[in-house]
Amino acid sequence: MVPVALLAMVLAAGFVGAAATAVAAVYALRRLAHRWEDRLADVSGLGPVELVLAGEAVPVRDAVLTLQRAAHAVPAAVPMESPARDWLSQVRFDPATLCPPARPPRPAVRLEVQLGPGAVVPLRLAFPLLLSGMGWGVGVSDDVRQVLAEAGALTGVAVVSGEGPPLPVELETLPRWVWQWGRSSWQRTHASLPSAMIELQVGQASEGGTEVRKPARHLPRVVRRADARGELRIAAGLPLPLDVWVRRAREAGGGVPVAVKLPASQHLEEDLALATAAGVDVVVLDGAGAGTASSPAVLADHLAIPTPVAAARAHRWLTRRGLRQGVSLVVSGRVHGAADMAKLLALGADAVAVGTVALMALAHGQVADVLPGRAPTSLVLAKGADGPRRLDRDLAAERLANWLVATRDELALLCQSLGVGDVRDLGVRHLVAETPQAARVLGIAWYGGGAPSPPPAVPQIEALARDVLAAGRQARRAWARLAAAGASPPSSGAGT
Amino acid sequence: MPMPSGTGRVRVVVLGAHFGGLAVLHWLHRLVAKAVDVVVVAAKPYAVFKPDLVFSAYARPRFVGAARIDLSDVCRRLGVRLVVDYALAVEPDLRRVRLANRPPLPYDVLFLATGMDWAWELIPGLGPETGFLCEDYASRHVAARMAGWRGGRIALWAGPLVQGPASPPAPTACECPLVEWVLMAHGHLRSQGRRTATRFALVTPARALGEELGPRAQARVAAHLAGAGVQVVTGARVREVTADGVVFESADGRVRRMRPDLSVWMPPAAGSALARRSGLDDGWGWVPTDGHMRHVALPDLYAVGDINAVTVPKRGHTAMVQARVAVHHLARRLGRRVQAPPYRPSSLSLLHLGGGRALLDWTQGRQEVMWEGRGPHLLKRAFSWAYRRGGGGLPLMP
Repeated sequence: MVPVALLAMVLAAGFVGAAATAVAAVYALRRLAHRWEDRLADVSGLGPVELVLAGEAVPVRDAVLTLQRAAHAVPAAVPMESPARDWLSQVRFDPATLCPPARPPRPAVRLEVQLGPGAVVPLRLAFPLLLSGMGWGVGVSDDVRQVLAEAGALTGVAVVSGEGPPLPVELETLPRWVWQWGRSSWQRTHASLPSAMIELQVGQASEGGTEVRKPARHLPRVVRRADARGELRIAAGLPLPLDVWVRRAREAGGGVPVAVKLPASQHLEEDLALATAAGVDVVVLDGAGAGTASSPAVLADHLAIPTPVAAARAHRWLTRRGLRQGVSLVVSGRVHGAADMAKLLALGADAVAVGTVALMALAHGQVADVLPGRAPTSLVLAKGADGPRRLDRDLAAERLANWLVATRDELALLCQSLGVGDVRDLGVRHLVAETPQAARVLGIAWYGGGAPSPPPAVPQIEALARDVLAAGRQARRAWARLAAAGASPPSSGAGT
Repeated sequence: MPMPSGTGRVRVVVLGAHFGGLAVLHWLHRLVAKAVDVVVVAAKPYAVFKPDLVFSAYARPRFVGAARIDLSDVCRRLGVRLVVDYALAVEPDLRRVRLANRPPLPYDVLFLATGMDWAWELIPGLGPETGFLCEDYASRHVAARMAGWRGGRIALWAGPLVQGPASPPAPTACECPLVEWVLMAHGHLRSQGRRTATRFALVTPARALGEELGPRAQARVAAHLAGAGVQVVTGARVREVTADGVVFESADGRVRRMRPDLSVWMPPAAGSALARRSGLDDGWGWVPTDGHMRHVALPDLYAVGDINAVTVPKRGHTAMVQARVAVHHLARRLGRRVQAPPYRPSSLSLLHLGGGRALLDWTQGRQEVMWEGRGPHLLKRAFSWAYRRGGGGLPLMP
């Protein structure tokens, strides 16, 4: 009996203890809550709560840039994309239903496009995408440049050199290598490089056409040799009058298209008039928010008009001037995937260029290796190459190739859902705006403003035309038989 | 005799660091190291041992790392300066090489060993994106596709070789890697019990598969492919590659369309754009040379390996033999007492057959020596190991 009594006493004591602890905990929590409530009301003692309130008023990005400026007394910079109004998220696709119906997977949607159709050797892309100019040493590391080249070769897209020197391996690897002839001193000597297109870089959305200085310690040795002053300069303005520049590029290119890259501006129609008068084959418009490695944030965050707006306006201008067949349009800036691509193609672009999202794709699987001590950008940006860890090139190239293949297939899927057999047939009739502002700015139908005008029933018209032609053939054969039997065919205009 | 530089040593520039270029470096080191200053120009800081790229048939994608040879290490051992750059053109009148990122590189003697170019443009719709074997990144990508393979149709395509009338006729650059790949993939899938889910086809413009082999080896290869259930289409001419398949004309003139789930190409090959840009070629991009691999008009320029007009088939062994011939000839010109016999065309092939077996075939004129079994397999593995470890040099160079 004694052990049972002891056990009961222990259990009772435990129960009482637990109950007392719970009561004490509730009491303590209540006291704490009261104290915090009192302190929240006391403006002078907000403590950490201040941060929350300040964060609501001042975005984290602005706070970081403010701290940078305070610490270094130089224009602040943040790598990758900048904020910009997101018009593309206010646009949806209008699906194919009864007329036209959605397409089956076979025959496959034609995704191939050509840039610069008027050039002797147009640039052929397996699907309408370019990997945007991210220069070796100026923007990204040599590992990243090689990864871009390999993934580009494996998927049939073009890779733009950017403002850095040409990485030798990409000249050997990549059949669709685009040489960006920019405004830096080291680039002017490279006009005779074998390239699939020459892009004259007048400016970009993150910098405009301003002068840019790059610290030489981050640049490859071959570039550093070009200038011994400790930094390298990308000059403001054009190195040559535009028409002369285009002519020189055309001579150097041996028949490949000549493109001009411009920040997308409010006066883009005037830019287009000048560029087309100078004889360019391709216009590349870099829209607001386009990524950068180290451009001043005060420029990157506030320059240029949004990419979709630029695409729509440039397409309209080229079409009205009768130049659309001869001049290709490429747009870049805040393009994140196949849906963005398809929307921009429908708004009038012939191809789009991506940068930031490609860097994210290629770094997949390796970011965790640098966190938390280093930023993920240390894997890809040029200044990160000095660090202890280098990019696993093989893994990165396969990841980027995977992303490109998936994007290509998603683009084909979207085209199927819209009843489009050729990506070049995408048009504004396939888009519908979610807001009246987007409809007005982009020139597309708004779903709140009544039913959009139905798309032309192309397949029905084609089917009808086929029937008419077949009927005509049958009639001709019938008349031929009658003629052979001695009857004469009816004269033109005779009734039946 | 080449002009010596200010140091009294002959400035030798070697363009390319594949089979031919590496063999040239090793022979220069062995024969005339004290008489020459050597610079090698390569677009990548590493060379790739391309025969191992056929392992993409079953290896994990990371296998390509083992096929790479660090050139900086090789150059340090051989006392050679490595320049990682891209050669834009050779200016023989000025005796210099124009580079993409550096000032022109002067030379007294130049070895051209940059190989041939892939002629994707020969077939509409064809490009590196259609899948091929001959570069490390492409082979890695094929290996990644095979790692997730669930079954379907795999087609292997041999592209045509474009040559001038002076070159020995050959329908393709080299079909052997495709044969090795398909036999190894067959063996691997069979060992995993997944062979029945996959159909193989091998399509070539040649009248008979493996024309670069001797007749006995050709017969053995044909028997192995038949045993593996590989459909072989000879005399085919590919017209177009589209998203809906490959359109080709077969030997009987019929136009057919094949829709493979995976294509592996030995791409069409053409002469070197560098040779064309520099005016060193025979009009087709191949460099015409005498029996010592010396340019017919430029006595201080040698061309070894695939870029040479006489090199058929385009194969590593041939490049190594030509490098020996060329450097011995240079050594003799520099006063070394060495024999410098001219090049005699021969062909040595070592083909993996899968299952730990290989086939060795050596032909010269009408002579043929063939050996099949585990011995050649061990020989090939030993060669691969020694070549990579030696940085392109072997204790006994061919």
